[in-house]
Amino acid sequence: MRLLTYNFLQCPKTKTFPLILEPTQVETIETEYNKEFILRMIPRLDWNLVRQVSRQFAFGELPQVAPKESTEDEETFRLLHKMLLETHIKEGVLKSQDGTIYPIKDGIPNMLITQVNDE
Amino acid sequence: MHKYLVIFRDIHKEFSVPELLSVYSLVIRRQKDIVKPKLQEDFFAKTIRSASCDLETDTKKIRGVFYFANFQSDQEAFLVGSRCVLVRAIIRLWSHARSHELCLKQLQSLGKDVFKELLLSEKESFRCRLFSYGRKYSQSETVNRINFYSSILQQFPGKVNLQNFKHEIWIVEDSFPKAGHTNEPSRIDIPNHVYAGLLIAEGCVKQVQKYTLKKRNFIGTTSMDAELAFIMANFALADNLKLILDPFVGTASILISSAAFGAETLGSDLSFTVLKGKNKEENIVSNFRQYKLQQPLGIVRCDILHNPWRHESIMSSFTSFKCHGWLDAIVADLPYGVRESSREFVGEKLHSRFVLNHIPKTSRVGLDNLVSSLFDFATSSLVGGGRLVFWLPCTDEFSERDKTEICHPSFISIAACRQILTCRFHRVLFVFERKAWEDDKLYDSDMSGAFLHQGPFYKDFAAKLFREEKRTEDALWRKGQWHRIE
Repeated sequence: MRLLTYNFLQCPKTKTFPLILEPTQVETIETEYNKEFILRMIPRLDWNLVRQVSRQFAFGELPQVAPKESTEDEETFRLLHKMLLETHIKEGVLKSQDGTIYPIKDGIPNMLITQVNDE
Repeated sequence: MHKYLVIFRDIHKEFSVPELLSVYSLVIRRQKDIVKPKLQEDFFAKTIRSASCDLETDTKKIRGVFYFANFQSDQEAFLVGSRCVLVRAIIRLWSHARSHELCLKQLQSLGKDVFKELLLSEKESFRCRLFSYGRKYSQSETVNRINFYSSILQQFPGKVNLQNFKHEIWIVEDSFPKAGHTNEPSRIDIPNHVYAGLLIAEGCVKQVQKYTLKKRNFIGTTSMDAELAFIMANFALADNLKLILDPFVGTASILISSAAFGAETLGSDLSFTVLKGKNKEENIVSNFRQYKLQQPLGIVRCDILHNPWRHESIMSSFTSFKCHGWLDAIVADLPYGVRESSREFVGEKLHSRFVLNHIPKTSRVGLDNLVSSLFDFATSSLVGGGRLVFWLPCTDEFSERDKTEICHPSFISIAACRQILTCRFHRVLFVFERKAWEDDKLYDSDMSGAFLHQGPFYKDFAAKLFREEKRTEDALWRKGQWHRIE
């Protein structure tokens, strides 16, 4: 799962956004840099979550306001590309605020609701 | 503006004109300087008409393959024509007559400016091709027919070159028997129509053939035929920088066609077996690798009835900024219970030790639930102008009226085309377009299910097709009943 996809997911049970990401295995796969695609996606992303992810994965601090024009800092777009499109979560879990767990296996998150019963 | 002749291919005739219109709107929307694309699309749609009107009134309703259309320029006609799967060729029309003699006469009376490209210089090499529909020409007959037009062809200064030519002149003869397939001998020597013109664009069927299922690495029982998948991608307006999701991805056959047009793709499915693939070399990812396409952005296992995709209402409560949708198109081939059953997953209570490796159970669900969920999902995730493209099954009792049965206040119906699979088993491709977000919000989102018809034509489809009572959907759980375990 790429971090871009993570930005589109919410908990199917409680309908809350965002989920909490706890990766155990992260992989970087290089892809072609496409600035226009990033620019097109930025208005569709939750920028607060993007900034939070950037901190979580130690990509550094992103500007407060999402860049809108292609003339803005090239570095930011490179960083966004590396973060959103090249970083893959291979193994890990997505956690909802109420504790529901969605495991990620082989890069495929399993978003089916399984209820935990520890009795 | 000029008049063009569009020659469609002989298959999927019901899809050909809607596909042309869809591709036209795609080309128009690429140009940012056009203020009102909708107006221009409507204007274009009005110029399309069948070349052989007499065929349309026939009781058998044979749709001809020859259509007239008005494009703004050769460039526009080329962009549209070269992306359509069902277009054989688009020709800038020079003349149109009832016979070859009249056609030649017309050509001779035309002004010099009509042939201006060909008269430019000696470098403009060309060739002439005879295209006959409904009649077979032998080699010598073809040469004779082309020689018949020599008085026109000889005035061009360029060389004739059969291999490396710059321009191609088409002489098109429509000799299709008027009454359809009858036993009466028809006079093949008298054509219905003769057209002459300059070839502008050829359809993209040759490129599509590269993607044939026969040579694909990983396919399943319900993989979509490559040509139809490309037609779906055209309806979904797949293009560079667009984000397209298939919620029933299966072996990703529809996403591959979208990715071939440059779109970024997302896939989700309930069945884990297809998402995982057979082995490292035979899975969804390997299919994309086989054609050297951009890998899908993400593959997610989820249930469309309880989908994990972001809803915009949730977004707005969290942040101050509002975005209206995040998907450009949704393409889907619903599992309708013939080869693959419609399923939802069943919630289970488990010990936390097992949660990570557990594969949840699924159970069958009515198709109407899937359709209403698909609409709910599309309403909350598509951008304004985004497309929703999906198949539904129907029997031979399906009528034109049934096409209007599926409607939703946030969507405009673009097309509904039927493909006949067997004499009783047909399927219909529905194409909807999301209205602008500013235009809705007038209704309660919980109501959306009610807009869909209560007893739709696709209900109990498997039971109708196989004439088996036990396959009816009434015995199944209704949507929302999974909560009972809570």
